[in-house]
Amino acid sequence: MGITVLLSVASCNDILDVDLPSNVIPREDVFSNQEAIEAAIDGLYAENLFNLGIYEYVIPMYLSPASDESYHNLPTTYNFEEFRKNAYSASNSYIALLWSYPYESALLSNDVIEQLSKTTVISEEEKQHYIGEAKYFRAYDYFVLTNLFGDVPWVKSSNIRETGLLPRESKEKIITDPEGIIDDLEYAKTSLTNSDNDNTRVTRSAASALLARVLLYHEDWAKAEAEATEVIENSEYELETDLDKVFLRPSKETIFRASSAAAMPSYVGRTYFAVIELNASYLRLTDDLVNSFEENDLRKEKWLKNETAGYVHAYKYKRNTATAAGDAEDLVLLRLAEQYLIRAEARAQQGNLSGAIADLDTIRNRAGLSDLSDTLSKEDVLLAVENERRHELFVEEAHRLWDLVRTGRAAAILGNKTNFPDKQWEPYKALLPIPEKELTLNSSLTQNPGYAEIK
Amino acid sequence: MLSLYKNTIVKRYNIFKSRKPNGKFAFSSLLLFFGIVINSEIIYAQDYNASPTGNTGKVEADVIELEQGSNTVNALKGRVSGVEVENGKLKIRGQSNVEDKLAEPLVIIDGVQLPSGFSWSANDQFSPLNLLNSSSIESVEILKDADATAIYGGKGANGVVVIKTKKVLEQKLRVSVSAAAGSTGVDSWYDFLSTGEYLDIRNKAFAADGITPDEKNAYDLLLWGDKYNTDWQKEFLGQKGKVYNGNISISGGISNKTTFFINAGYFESGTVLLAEPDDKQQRINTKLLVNHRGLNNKLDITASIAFNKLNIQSRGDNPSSNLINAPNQPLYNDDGSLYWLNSSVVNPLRHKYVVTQNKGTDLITNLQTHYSFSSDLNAILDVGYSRNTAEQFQSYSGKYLNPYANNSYKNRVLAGDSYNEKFLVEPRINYTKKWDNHSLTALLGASYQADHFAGDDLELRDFPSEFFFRNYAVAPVKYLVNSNTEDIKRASVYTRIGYDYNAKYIFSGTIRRDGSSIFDRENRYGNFWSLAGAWIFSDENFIRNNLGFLNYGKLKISHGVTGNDNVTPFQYITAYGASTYPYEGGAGLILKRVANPQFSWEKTQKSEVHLDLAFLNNRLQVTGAGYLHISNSLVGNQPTAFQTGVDSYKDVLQDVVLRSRGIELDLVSTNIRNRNFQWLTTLTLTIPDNSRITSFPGIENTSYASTRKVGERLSITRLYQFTGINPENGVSTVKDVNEDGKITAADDKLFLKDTDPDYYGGLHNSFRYKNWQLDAFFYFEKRPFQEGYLKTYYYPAGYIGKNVPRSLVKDYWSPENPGGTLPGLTTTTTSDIGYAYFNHYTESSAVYTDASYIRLKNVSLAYTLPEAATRKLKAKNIRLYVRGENLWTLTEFDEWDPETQTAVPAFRTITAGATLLF
Repeated sequence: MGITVLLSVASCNDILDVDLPSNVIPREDVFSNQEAIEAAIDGLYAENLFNLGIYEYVIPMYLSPASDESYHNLPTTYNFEEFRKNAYSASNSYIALLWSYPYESALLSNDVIEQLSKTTVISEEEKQHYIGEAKYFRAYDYFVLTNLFGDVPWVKSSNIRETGLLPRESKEKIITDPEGIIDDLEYAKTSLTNSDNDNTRVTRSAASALLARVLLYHEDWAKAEAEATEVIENSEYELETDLDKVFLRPSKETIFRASSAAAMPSYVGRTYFAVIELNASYLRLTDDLVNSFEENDLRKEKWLKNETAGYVHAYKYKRNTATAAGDAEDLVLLRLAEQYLIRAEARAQQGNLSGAIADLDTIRNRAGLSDLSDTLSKEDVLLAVENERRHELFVEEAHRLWDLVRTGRAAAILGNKTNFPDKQWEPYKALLPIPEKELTLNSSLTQNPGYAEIK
Repeated sequence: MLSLYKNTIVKRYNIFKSRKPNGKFAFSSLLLFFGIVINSEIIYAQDYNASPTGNTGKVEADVIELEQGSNTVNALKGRVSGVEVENGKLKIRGQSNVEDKLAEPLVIIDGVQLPSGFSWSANDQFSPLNLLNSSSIESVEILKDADATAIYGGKGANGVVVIKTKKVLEQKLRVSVSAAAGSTGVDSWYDFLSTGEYLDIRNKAFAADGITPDEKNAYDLLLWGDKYNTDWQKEFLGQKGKVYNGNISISGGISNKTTFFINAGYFESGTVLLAEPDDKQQRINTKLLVNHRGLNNKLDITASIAFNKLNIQSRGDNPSSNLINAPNQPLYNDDGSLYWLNSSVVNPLRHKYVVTQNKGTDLITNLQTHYSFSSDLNAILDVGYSRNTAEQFQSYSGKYLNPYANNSYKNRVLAGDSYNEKFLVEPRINYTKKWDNHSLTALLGASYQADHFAGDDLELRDFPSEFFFRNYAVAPVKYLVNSNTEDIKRASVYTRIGYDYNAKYIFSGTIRRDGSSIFDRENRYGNFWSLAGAWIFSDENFIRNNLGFLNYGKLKISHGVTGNDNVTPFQYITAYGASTYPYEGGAGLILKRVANPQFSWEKTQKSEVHLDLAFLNNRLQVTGAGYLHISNSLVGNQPTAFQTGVDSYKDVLQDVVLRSRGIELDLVSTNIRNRNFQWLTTLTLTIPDNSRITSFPGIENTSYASTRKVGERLSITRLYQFTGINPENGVSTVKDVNEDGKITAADDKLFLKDTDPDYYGGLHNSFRYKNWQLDAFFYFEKRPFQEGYLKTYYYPAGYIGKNVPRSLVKDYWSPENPGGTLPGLTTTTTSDIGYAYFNHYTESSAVYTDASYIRLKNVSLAYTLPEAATRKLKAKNIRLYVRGENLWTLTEFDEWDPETQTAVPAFRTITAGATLLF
């Protein structure tokens, strides 16, 4: 019959080709156009800093109560309580998010890195600049993942149909191997210029600052000191003398901040620490932290707020909506004070106690506190570092929890049943359990020790 | 006209229709007063594409007109077996995809495809079907099985709805005028506690909790007093809307070769929800059709253009949660402004300040050309174009906002504009050959369709005042929430061969090749087929001789494979798209999906057995059908470990099978047929077992794990199993399945139940005595398990600010009533009773109830003026009628309405009108 002829006519593809939906842009089109490439880099910022929670509220919100500094005031139906009690279970949905957000972020970076390395429409210099920004975000993703889970699958490709079965890679390799955290940050450092923006983009200093933190955690004291020094000696940054101005937009102390000029969402994250009625109840500070401030510590006066209802919450950020420029606040991702504290610790570890004390005093003086005695032992200095980090960096990221874990002090503090009768701290709690769903979907994954294996 | 089966079957079978002068003016409903015609032959005899062996159901004008609501789809409820109508949406024989949104049937109006709905903007109530004027519709057919839907191919995989509007093609001038007016509104109310009773229960609950009321936990007791006694239902839904309907048709001819038909209609219905005088929906329908026959009647051209317009102005949104507010909550301050207590107590009347204005238009043009080369060979060319637009506007006045709350905006407008275009060309060639007792037809057809959609959604905030709401430029904050265009093209070629011997053994087969731009080039095309056979066994001598009471008997069997391209398009492209938020003013682009080029058409195998019988001089006609649909190659979310960066991607789900099956029964009985009195009964019954997952390897790892289960239907819910009220403390208990002493969702929420109906159908009785005619239509549905009041409005008796129906305070637990069947009173979520109530009880089988019902959906009483009187008025026919909708319901369902399953019940509407034919 003639039908055969007609059927084959209909096989001519052209009659069915259509314009793509206007909101779908093929990847190859993006990476063959200069403006689109810039937009893809903006996309990394928007997605990382606003939409995925890891830079915003997720990390402090979930992990701060796992330390000794805060607790949630939420109905028990939310399984946040597992964090406060260090009673982590592999089925906890928030632990699943702590796993998935960094990987979602890494996928975006991986694709941009892969595609940029092939593109020819921009100069080599621009290419390296953009790749540097993408690598910064990827390094942060793995910094979070390795801190939380130890060895994790190391995914460096956007080929989602193949990367789903990768096994865990050693944390050490992820930190030190090529394309690992340190390598990515060093790449970012060399490919990025120093601040040519308003600290709303990753700069050479931002890469240095994060690298200093990574090296500190990795106990590479000399290099950590060097990176911190590079940032501290950069004249663009200086400590704000007025504690009320530290988190304001023009703060000179800010190394990297989320630009919330037009977008509301970066305020959302902040509201967990801010004053508004609705959210102030989310994260409340423990008496343990509140009572540990020295008598005349200005941070206690400026950065804490007592509510009449009888609880205290952090008051570093004070606004909940976008406001006029002078008062505007942005979510601060990296600030100079931390670099002083990194260097103090690195110096102390290398035996340079006076250098360490000098750095600590810089932070203490700003808070209205007197100099430390210069006769402290190394142990005392390290304790002073711990103490200063606690009072300077509370409910920022997961500083307190990670400090206690990496310095081996968690058992003494979180395991103290008198102070925290509810906590079930054990050494293996230094790592979270791998979410159980991941174990089921990727049979090559193994559970962290101490957590019951899934049948 | 090709009418292979017309002469043989139609005459014999269609006792009712034979009285209708064929092709005459549609106002023959006087003569044809029985709504439903079951046998497909009638339809197909006049349809070029027709399959004599397919299964369809059809509803005609007089039945559709009985439904006065704005949605024509409602008229199909209970009228056609195998068709489920839920809140204006149609589902034909279940759904064939594991994803919920994709089961909508294809809607064809006068040969042109309509989009199934606008789901674009804030309020998606805008079904294009709402734009149709029910009184201009000639018929709505539902095509169900593989054979009947075969010529529509992939588009028709979920069934096809074919709507034909009225037309008359005669030279003689005819004018028909009809008008009706009436009233619509809610007429059944929940029995809530009065203020006195409410306060009493609250006080008792405080006593039970052992809590002292203070201004924070008992503002309703201590601050509000008993000044007000508001029935929120009446406040929200208490008003009646007026309904007006008018229609005029003029038909005639310039010659006997060129005729025209003009129709214009107006419909208006007041809205009910918090209505202000201006709130109403208005619809205008116009149509012009011209037909020309030429070249010795070899050429037949029909051109038509229809334009419909719908405006809706209404207030508020779904009022459900507001109807259970405390009866003593103050409404207004002394100065007439809304009363607000604090940031967390909502004044329900704020919904007065949400105004929705939707405007839709619908342009349908069509050109049908039919040319007969000879009596054996015809060629047909259909060209159609339709364009629907929707302009949606919703304003939130600042008065809507709670002044104590932290509002992120003030004076806000949500606006959306979209349009949908469809262009369709369908050429066909028909060949018929008859010799001796043999008859052969061959149809060769092709179709090409191009669809285009474009739409924008805007959000505008912080207008200085309501005065500027229409002036978007004034808004200081503007978001483009959504903006998209979408193009889809489809092309098909198909052939259908029909053969019959002696009009007794009938066969038909269809083969088609469909292409769709939704898939990648390599996977774009699919081949599909169907085969059907019918045997009119009543024509066999051995039947005729032995079973004389059987006037007609036909057995039909069909089987086929249909394809469905109704999946998310363009998945074969690795795509970037706009990030959720901009960064530093510039829109960001992010990776949205990684391509999966692999998937292609979803396939459903459809089988059907169908039996038509007529007895007692054709006075009893019975049609039974059994169907079995097996769907595979389904597209869904393939789970992956999150280390990839995603938790799933769209893929063909291997070995996932979905099954729908069911039994359908249609019956038409002429109980009495005298000169002066006639009584006719029609009954439809569907016993479905639809959308059951029969195979889904590895489902526990997919995103479907918590919502679907192998062996169960798609509509299952997971619940705790209610095990009664603890007689010692009034706490509701549920089964601890794994007996670990803890109630946890993962381990104990394992009670599975689906909410599908066991059966449903309709019963229509029509009585005619001389000039009087009475019609009554009942819809019935057996749905033993549906979320009821306690699930939807989940506050326990005694809770702050929430009223409850009287039935919920009849048998609650208390120390004096230890055998109470409802949990004890509590004012808080943290008491043992309260905790169990919110976390277990309302998530358990206890709050599901039987939602079965019988409803008198339509009643109509009509009187036709005697001929003498009619003649005096120079009319051909005059008819007066009174109609009522939803007048009576029988149900045990404990929520507002078993049909809508929301707080807005099906409206009771009563109208009176007249139809005049000149």
